[in-house]
Amino acid sequence: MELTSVADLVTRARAGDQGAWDDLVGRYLGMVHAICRGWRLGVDDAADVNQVVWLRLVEHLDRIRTPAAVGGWIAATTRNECLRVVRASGRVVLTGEDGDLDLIDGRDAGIDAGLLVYERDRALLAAFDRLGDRCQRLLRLMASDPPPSYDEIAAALDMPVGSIGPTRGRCLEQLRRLLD
Amino acid sequence: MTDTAAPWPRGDALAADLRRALGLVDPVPEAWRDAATDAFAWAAVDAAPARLEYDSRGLRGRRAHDQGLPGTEVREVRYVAGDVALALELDVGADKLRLLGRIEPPGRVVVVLAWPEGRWDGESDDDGTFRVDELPRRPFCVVVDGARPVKSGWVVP
Repeated sequence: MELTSVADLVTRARAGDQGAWDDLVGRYLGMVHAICRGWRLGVDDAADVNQVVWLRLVEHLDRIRTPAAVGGWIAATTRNECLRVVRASGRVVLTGEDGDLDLIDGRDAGIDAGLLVYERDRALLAAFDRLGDRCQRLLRLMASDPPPSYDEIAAALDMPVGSIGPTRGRCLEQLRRLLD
Repeated sequence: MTDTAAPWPRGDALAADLRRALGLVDPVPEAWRDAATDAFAWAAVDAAPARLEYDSRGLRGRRAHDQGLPGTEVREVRYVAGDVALALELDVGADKLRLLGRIEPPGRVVVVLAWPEGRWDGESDDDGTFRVDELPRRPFCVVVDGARPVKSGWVVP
């Protein structure tokens, strides 16, 4: 989606167009989900963050200076809300502690364990789970559908745009080594 | 069955495999989409949005409060829209919160508290105050339906 069309969606949503709002949700929901999962929030906490992010967006829609940059605003707000929850609760739910992907904490949200019979996927996700937090957050975010822009990734992870590509390359290489 | 002995790809191809695997094991819950879509209802409330003027959350030196529920945090929030002000005092417990509100200028007006799963309808007294003793600990907003309706932003307890 082009930035101009994102700006158009924001403009139309400001005017009360529910369809434009729904399109914004469709554009950025995957990113919000990926950020929440990257922070390893529990199912309920992650759902609360998702809700707060969209409530905040509708409240601030008129005040976002650059409508085309709304994705960066959503990314930063999601990250801040995740941090708020983590700090408030003092706990972080770990996933796949022993590499068993059946333990991933999104299980209650409808994960079909039957899908995990595919050993190759299982091996890939087990290796992914052994990556450091920063690599997991970056790769998970870039795997969201549709993938966010580099500006949005930078806002979500609080990292310079210029380091995203090289970091992604290093993380993928680490993942590849873990699979050997 | 997938051939697990096949060599693993690198770079973009490996990223594509990861995207597919994560999509299978960890899809976006449909309830998330519903929550995001429903959030737009706030925009349809026919009232002037009030500006957050003050929020005590995170401030040090919070004032002593001897009326708070045991084990709760007291938080003060103030919204302003034109000549209408809405001051909220929250006693935030583990699952519930108690809310004391004061509207300026004072007077009897209809007050609605809305949270994603429900609402509370009430009225302020002659002094412009209202009180709710048991609210779920959920994000909420307040609509003051006076001569000039005003809505607060979302307060996240």
